Amino acid sequence: MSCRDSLPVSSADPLVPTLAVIEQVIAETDSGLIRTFVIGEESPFPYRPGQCAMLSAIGAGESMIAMASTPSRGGGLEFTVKAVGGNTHALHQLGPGDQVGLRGPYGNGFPLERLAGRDIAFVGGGIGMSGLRSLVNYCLDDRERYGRLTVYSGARSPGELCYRTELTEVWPAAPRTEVMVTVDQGQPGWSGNVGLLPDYVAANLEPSPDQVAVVCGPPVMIRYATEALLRLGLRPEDIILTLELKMQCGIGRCGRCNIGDKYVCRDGPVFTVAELGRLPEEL
Amino acid sequence: MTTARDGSPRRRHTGNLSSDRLGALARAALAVAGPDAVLWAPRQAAQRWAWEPITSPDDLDPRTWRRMVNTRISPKGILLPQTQEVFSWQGRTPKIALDVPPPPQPAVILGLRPCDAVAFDRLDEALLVGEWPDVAYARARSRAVLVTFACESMSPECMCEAAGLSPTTPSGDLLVLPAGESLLLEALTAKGEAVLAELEGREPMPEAGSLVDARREELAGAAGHHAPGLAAGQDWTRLPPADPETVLAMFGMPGWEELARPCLSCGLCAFVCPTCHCFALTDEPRGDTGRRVRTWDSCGLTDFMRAAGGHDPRPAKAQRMRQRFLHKLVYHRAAHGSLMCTGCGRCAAGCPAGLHIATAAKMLLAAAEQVAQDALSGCAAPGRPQEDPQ
Repeated sequence: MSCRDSLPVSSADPLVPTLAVIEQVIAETDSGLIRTFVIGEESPFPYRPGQCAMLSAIGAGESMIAMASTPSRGGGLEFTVKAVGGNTHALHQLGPGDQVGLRGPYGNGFPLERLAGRDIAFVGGGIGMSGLRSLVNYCLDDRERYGRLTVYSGARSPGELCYRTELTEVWPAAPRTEVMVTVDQGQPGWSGNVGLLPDYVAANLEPSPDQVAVVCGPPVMIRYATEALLRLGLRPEDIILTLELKMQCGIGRCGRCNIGDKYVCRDGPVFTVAELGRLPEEL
Repeated sequence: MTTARDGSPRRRHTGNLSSDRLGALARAALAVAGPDAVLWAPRQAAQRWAWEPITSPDDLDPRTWRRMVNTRISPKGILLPQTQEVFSWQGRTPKIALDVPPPPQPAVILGLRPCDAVAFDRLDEALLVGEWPDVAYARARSRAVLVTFACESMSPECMCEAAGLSPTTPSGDLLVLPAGESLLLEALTAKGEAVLAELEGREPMPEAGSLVDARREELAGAAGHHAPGLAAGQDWTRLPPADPETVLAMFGMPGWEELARPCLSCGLCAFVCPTCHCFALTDEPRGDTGRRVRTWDSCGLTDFMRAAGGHDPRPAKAQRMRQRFLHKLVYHRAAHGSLMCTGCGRCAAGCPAGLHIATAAKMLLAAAEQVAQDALSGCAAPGRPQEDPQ
């Protein structure tokens, strides 16, 4: 095949970011290692929950980060960023008024049509809650469209939980919505559950016939949470994962996130367990 | 009427040019590519053939190319440079300004072999098909004119036949079949048509239709007589369409570890490959300015997938080698219908550890055959749970 006569030669290079301005920085955790950045007054592009964008402290690299905000509300894009590598540490040095490089939106996002009418369990470990937060708020903004919502959120310690106001006040007050929080290690004053998130889900989730689960977290948590959900009787096509993987171009070209004939940045990052079962196990 | 490689309906357009008029062909191609076009052709230097920019097309002598099986390094880098600026910046936040580099000069690539010309078709699939095309490559590719020279000789390293190609595979914009003192030309795309039309305006030239067919048959036959390499007798196009069960069986083959043992993870195979296209993006700050560059990378190199925080799905070299071979021979085919190896042989010729893609292909063909046999006899593939009949 040849596609040389229909090349988009006049279009802008998708690898070149636009410059956007940080409006607000919110410290999420006691350690200060996780912060939410509000970028711009409005999103420069339309997006769906579960999609990602490349965020760059110019000069320090780029990172693929899920949108933590929901398109159902106006305002800027929100990204919750953990300081782990060079670019994310550099982002943490920035404050309101500073510029960042931004390009996107990338990826498929959550299968919203397939979630309509279903009972949804959200299972988010650590920073993995960020993409799920977009979806939880999206569902709450159109509450009648979805069944029972249960948010399972886990973190290493109480001080490392993200979105604490939403977890403790906003979401529990929403209709037919329950929030279940667990931490790996408790601390004085913590009266909630102590234990690993997959075990907590296994012990508490009573799946309805309409149950789906949406899972995000570090690879090892995703693996154990998936096993727990399968044991609870969820079908592989009803367990929806959003994957974390090294990505650089975000557009399915640089080869970094290639698994089988899929590129996680472009064809994912959202896959069902059934879809992943047809791919080599390399996550 | 027939259909050109780029899908345009056309009348067959051929020409018979004296081989001492190669300069005129080069000038016609340059005229089609544009006023600031650069001519690239193979030139021998220090015992190696290399791609070089040519400023005096009339000095080109195609007779010297008969001694050349192929260039040491593929022409990939002419359209997909090893290092390429994506953008530059000036100033610090909140006063950063970005600047993008000018588009590349158009290129005429004259004298490339069919394996390397077909490789650009594979790059087109990998980089241009889909929602977010690689615009930097698209800009270079859309303005390039590819003049392919059929091979008059082959080496044991040549594997195009295993990859389903031949020394005369119609590829590029214009195919040239050298025949003694003649160059038999056939246009393959609208660009190739334009080059022939331009040339005809400069040089009186007879049609060469039947001569082209006869010479193509001759060269195809001659190609079979080269000394056989490891890929002799293999047919990689027999690898089955990549249904998930077969892919997982190939992925799970026990032989990968053994195959990868001598590998040095040096990345040479990817860097000499005309179709490998993995790249890295790196920021190069210098004071208050800097640039983001895109450079060749390889899925075979250590830490290719390592994320900040340390997670690496392919920490072992056998895992990375498996990825490279499966991407070339299986995954790309599943997505685009074609093998992402054109059999140029550079990886095998250059590998310091003596690794050979034909060894991997042999294993894959055997694994695929096993899956097919198991399906016939009703067994599940090894390592895969049997489907629940419910």
